[in-house]
Amino acid sequence: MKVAKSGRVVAIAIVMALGIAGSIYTGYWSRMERYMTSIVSPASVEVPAWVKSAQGLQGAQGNGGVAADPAAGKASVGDAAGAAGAAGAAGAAYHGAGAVPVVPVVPAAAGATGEAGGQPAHGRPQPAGFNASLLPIIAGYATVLGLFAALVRLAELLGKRRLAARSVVARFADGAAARREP
Amino acid sequence: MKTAAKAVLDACIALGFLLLLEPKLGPLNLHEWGGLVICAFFIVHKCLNATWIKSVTLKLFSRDLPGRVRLNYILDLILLASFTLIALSGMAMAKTIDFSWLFKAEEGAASHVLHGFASFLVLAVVGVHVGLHWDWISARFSRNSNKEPVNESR
Repeated sequence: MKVAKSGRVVAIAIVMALGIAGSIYTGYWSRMERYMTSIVSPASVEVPAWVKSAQGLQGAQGNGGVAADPAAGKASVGDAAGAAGAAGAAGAAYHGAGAVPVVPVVPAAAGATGEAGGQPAHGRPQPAGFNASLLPIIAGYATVLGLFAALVRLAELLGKRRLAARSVVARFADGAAARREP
Repeated sequence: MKTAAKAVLDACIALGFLLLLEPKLGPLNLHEWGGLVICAFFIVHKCLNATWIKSVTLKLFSRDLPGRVRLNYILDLILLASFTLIALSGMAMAKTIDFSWLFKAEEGAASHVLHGFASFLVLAVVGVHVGLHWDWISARFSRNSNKEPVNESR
């Protein structure tokens, strides 16, 4: 199917607009920026409040004070931590809801492994089945992919047009030169 | 036939990768096993294009090599490095699959940051890759096209 060049440009523009919207919706740029910050200067990254609270919880457990109840643990640390059972060990993880993992997983207290603390939280508990509510995020990522593809197509299209314009100018100049010659 | 297999494999890699970008979409073991399968598919993809890789590698520093082909090669190298990084950091963080027999790694900030960063980098590079191969893709999936698509870069 042949598409007119103007139609192609419109299609590219639509894909790019969708891609920009999708990248904002998924938080692609902000997350990428935070990843870059973490890689370039890990020391400058502040420890989020939820990690501090998780560490506080673990400290208490490490002292052998309170054996945390999993449900209570989750509630007290907000959406970030999974709490330990009778062993008194907490396994906390992050991947927070939209938050970028810039801080290490909190090590389990009292020598217990993180797995003993149950599921890593990742903002929400890991689902047992398929979580269809996250499909819009996947669609958002697909539009981000489309955005980069569209940028390449646009660059190619502009490059071809520039070449075509150059050839027209060159032909015109050649014609003019030929007319000038006796 | 080989081209059709390549197209299906590439579509599977792209779709699978997009689905794996959100670990909470399904159970964690699905994310981890799915990631390994995608990495395996990626290696198969490279094997299917081994002739192209070999020929371009031999001519990489030649002046005759078109810039577009060289760009494709560099992008492929970035993809390979990113996929390796994703796989290794994912193995270090794996909860449902035991990789202690393979290597000993501690789960930490570095693994999570590198896993996320490499994934997002792959998303961008795959987008550019798709854009550069758009003629091949559209010819492959076009209903009117009965003949094998010609790809000047691969």
